[in-house]
Order: sequence, then structure tokens, then C-alpha cells
Amino acid sequence: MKLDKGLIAGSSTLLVLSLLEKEDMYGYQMITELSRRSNDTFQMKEGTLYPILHALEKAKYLSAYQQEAPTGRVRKYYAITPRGRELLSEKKAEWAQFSHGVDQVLSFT
Amino acid sequence: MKKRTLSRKEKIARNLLLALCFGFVVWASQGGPMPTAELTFRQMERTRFLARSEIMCTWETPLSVGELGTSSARAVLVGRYTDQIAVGCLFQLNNPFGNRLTLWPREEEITPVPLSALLQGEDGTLFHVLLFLEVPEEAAGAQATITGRIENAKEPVETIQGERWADGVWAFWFPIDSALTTDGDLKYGTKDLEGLPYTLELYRTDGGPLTEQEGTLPENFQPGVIYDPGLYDVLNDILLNQ
Amino acid sequence: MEQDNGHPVAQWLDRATEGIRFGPDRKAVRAELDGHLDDKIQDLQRIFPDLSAWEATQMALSGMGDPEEIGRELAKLHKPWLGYLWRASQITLGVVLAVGVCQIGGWLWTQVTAPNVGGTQDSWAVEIPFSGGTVQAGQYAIQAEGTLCLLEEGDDLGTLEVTWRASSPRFWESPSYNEYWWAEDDQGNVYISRAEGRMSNVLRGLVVDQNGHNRYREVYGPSWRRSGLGWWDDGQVSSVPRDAQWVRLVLDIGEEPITILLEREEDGP
Repeated sequence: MKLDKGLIAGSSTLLVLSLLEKEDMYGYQMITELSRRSNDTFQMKEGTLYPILHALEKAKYLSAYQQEAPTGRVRKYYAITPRGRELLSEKKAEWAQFSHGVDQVLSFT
Repeated sequence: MKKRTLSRKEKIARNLLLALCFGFVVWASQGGPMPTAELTFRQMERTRFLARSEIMCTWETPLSVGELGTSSARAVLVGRYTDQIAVGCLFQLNNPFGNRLTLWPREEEITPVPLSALLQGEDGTLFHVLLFLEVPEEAAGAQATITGRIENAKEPVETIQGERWADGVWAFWFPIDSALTTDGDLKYGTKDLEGLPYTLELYRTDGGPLTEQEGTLPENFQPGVIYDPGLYDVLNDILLNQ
Repeated sequence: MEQDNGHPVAQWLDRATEGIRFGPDRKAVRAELDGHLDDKIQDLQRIFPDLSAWEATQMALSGMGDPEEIGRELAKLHKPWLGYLWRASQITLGVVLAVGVCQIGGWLWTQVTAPNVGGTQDSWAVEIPFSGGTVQAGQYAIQAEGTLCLLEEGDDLGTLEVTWRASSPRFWESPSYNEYWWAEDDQGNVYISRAEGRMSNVLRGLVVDQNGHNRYREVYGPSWRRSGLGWWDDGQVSSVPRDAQWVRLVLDIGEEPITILLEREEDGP
């Protein structure tokens, strides 16, 4: 599946996928959860989340469904697919390698 | 609550498949209309238990559907068997109902065949049309003369130049004067062209005479015509036969 | 829902979604972004109670990012072609269904309003079954069976009531109404076709019955009515002698004539 490298290649993908690893969420929920987990370190421009979500959905790494909230608002929830889980572990491994490499360079004296 | 819905691609495929199925049902319920004159003719052959003939000639009117009156045929096809000729007059192309197929004996020599339907000219005039089949290829021009088409006419002899429709098939258009058909004394006979004495003269490219043939125009091979009744014709028949 | 003073929100949403050409897709994405902004503005007002609605809106919008840039990315993702194709498939199906309903409706109407065919006599004095046959005529399998019916016990001529059936793999092509079926029997009698019967001055087929009445020996061929995927009709061979052993129905068409033999099943009275 042809992906927009600019969107998917970044670490945003890794973050989004791991957010959805245990739980289905909707867009705003992900933003708040991201802030909470990272102690406000990650404050992305919120609108940019949606092109990422839509691209991942189109590439079948995520699936989506509509669910009605108690307030009556209908929200679009995203769930990770088995394919998405595979991509997640790939990205995790990539990241582990990357950060290990950085650590090694930094600790080289 | 999570529900699985079809993806857009699946919906498209489903819609088109359903459309195809329903489309087929609608088409079949209409008697399976065929898109072209030739396919319609083949269908007419099949429904009359005839074998596939060799189509010698396909003529289609240049007039559009709107310009054509209901009493004139829009296509004429001539198919050849070993001992018979089938002439199909189609009124509606895409409709198996209401079209006529007549059978004529096939002879060694030039065979005259009066069409069982009228044809319409560009200016709206209707014509009785006479076909001649098995006309030699050397013929560059043809002229047909018939006598007695108009009853009680002072000049009962009519001569018309022919036009070549296909190899061996020539057509002669005899105009129908609409004033005459309603007139009392002068009128067209009930048999149209059948049974009238005729003379056919053929010419070469240089204008010189090629051959000449005389005879009487035949009655239809089988009296009456075989035609496909429309739904309403069948109902009418039932009503009349009660 | 968009805010009452939602002008800036609406504007932002417009700019972010205007690149999405297929209507339903644009609406869906717009709704999703709108919901996000709503949640955001509500949260801001909850966290900072002193904020006015307008200020909260401005904060929320600036946190969303550049609508043009987001709009570009969204437009690239949500190309309209599949949406248009989906619309086209819906319209196609709709048209076919509409046409189909009209046609079926029209056909049903004619079935419902068609008069009852009162044709055959209910009480015959004598009925002698004739076993039928099947013949292949081109793409059609044609079958006929009959019953020789006498009006009175003492009649010497009766009517052979024939039931015709036909079927074809091309179940949409009904066989044509044909007036050229004629018949002959074991006694050398000839039953003329309907076509011949229509001509005037026909002497062939004329017979005088025991009461001195003129009767016609004639075949009424089938005009084929739909029955499931096949067709059927009732026909008759008129003025058949009560002691006829067989009647052969003949159709002269094509190279070889089509014939169906109907044989008497038992010794009649």
C-alpha cells in the first residue's frame, strides 16, 4: 500500500499505534492520553493527528467505527488491526535500535 | 457496539452485481430484446423453429425513431436456406414482438419477393416495396414494371427504377399516394403487390440490356404471416375466442 | 455541534475540508474534526473557567494547526473517485430496480385484470386419453398430450383437446404463435391448419357428421402462455372420429417437418 512517507514514516505512527495497542480511542481522546502519558512532553498540533489516522486507516493498519457517547455525540473510534500490531512491533524494534545507537554514541567516551 | 459494514469497494461490487441480476430479470421478462437488427432477426428465426439462415442482405432505415410511422418497417433482412428464403420485416429493433417473418420458395432464377410491410421514404411517403433476389452481379441497373396495383386506374402500368441493397438483392419502391387510399373508386388492392404481373429488365454498366424476366408476383409462401404477438395481442385473442 | 458563535470554527473546518471533493466523505471528516474542536473547547472552559467562549475558541483553533496544510494532506488521502464510482453504482442499481418494478408491476396488472379464459367444456360425455410425445424443434422441447372428448355418447366425431408445453434453455425467448400446425390421423383424414382455415372457399377439411351438420377438421395451434420458465397452451383438433387410433400433429417448417404423435391409450367405447 502506497503511503505518504511524510506522515507515516515519522515517530507519530509509533505513538498512535501504541496508544491504540490496548484500547480503542477517538481522536481527541488520543491527544489527551498522549499528553498525560508523556507528562505534556508531546504536544503536537492536534489537527495533524487526523491525516495520520486516516492514512493508517486507509492502509488497513487501523479500523474505525462509529459509537454513540452518553452525551448523544457520535464519535469515530479507531482500533488497531493485526496488521497494525505487526507494524507496531516493527516500529518498536526500529526505535529500540535507534535509541540504543544514540545511547551508544552519547556514552562513548 | 461494533458492526461490520461492507467496505466501499465491496458495496460497489454488490451494487453492480445486483444491478446486473435485476437487469437480467427485467430483460428476460421483456422477452430478451436484442440490440441489433441482425440479432433480432436471429431471434425471430429461433422462435419460429427455423435453422440459421445465411443472411444475404440487411437494410435499415436512415430515419430516426421519431420520424418513422408505426406502419412502416425500420429494418428488412433477407436470409437464405437451401430451398427457402426468409424475409424479416422489423418494426421495432429492440422488441421481439410485432415483427414479421415470411417464407418464400427459392428458385434458380431471379426470385421476386413482395415485402409484407410498407417502407417509409425520407419525406414521409409510404411505399410498397418489391424485392428481387438472385439478381446477377453484372446488373448495374434494373427496372421493374407492374400492372394493376391501383384498381380502376386509367394507367395501371407502373415502372420504377431499382436500387441495389446487396449482392443479388434489388429493391423497388412503389409510392403510395395517400389521397388514393381513401378514394372510393381508385384504390389499392387488398393484396398489395401479390399476384400482379411483372416485368423485370436488367441493364449492364454501359446501359445495354442484360436480361429480362416476366411473371406474376407470388402470393406469400404460406398464407397469412407468422408474427410474434405482443402481450396485448394474446389477450385480445383470448377475449375474442371466449 | 458547531458553536453558536461558531463562525471561526466553521471557517477553519471549511478550509481544512474543502479539498475533499466527494460530499459524504467531506461531511464525515468535517464532523470528526468538529467533534474534536467541540471537545477541546469544552475542556478548555472546564480547566479555565474564566475563559470566554470566544477566547476558548481561539485557543482551540490555534492548537489545531494550519488548516491549509491539514487540508492538503486530507485531500490527498480522500480522493473522490471511489466515492463517485459508488454513487454511480447506487444510481445504476436504483434505475434498474425502478425499471424492474414498473415492468413487473405492469405485468402483474395484466395478469390480475386478464379475463378468465372460459374455453373448454366442463362436461363431456366421453373422454378418451391420448398419450403424447415430445419433439425437439431447434432450441425448444415441445410436448403435447390430448384427450378425445365426445359431447354425447352417440357422437361419431369428437374434439381432441390438446395441451401443449414447451421449454428452452433460453427461457426468455417465447416460441412464436404459429398458425400452420395441421394434422392427420390413422384413417387418412387431414385436419387443416388455422392459416388455411382463414382463407375463403376452403373445401378441404370439410366433413359431415351423423346429424348432417357441416363440420371442419381443423387444428388450433398453441399461442404459448408463460408457465414458470416454460410455456403452455390449450389447443384443439376438431372433428376427430371416435375410433381414431392416433393423430399426428405436423408443422412444415425448415428442412424437416416437426411432428408429434398422439396415440390412443385404450380401446374407446
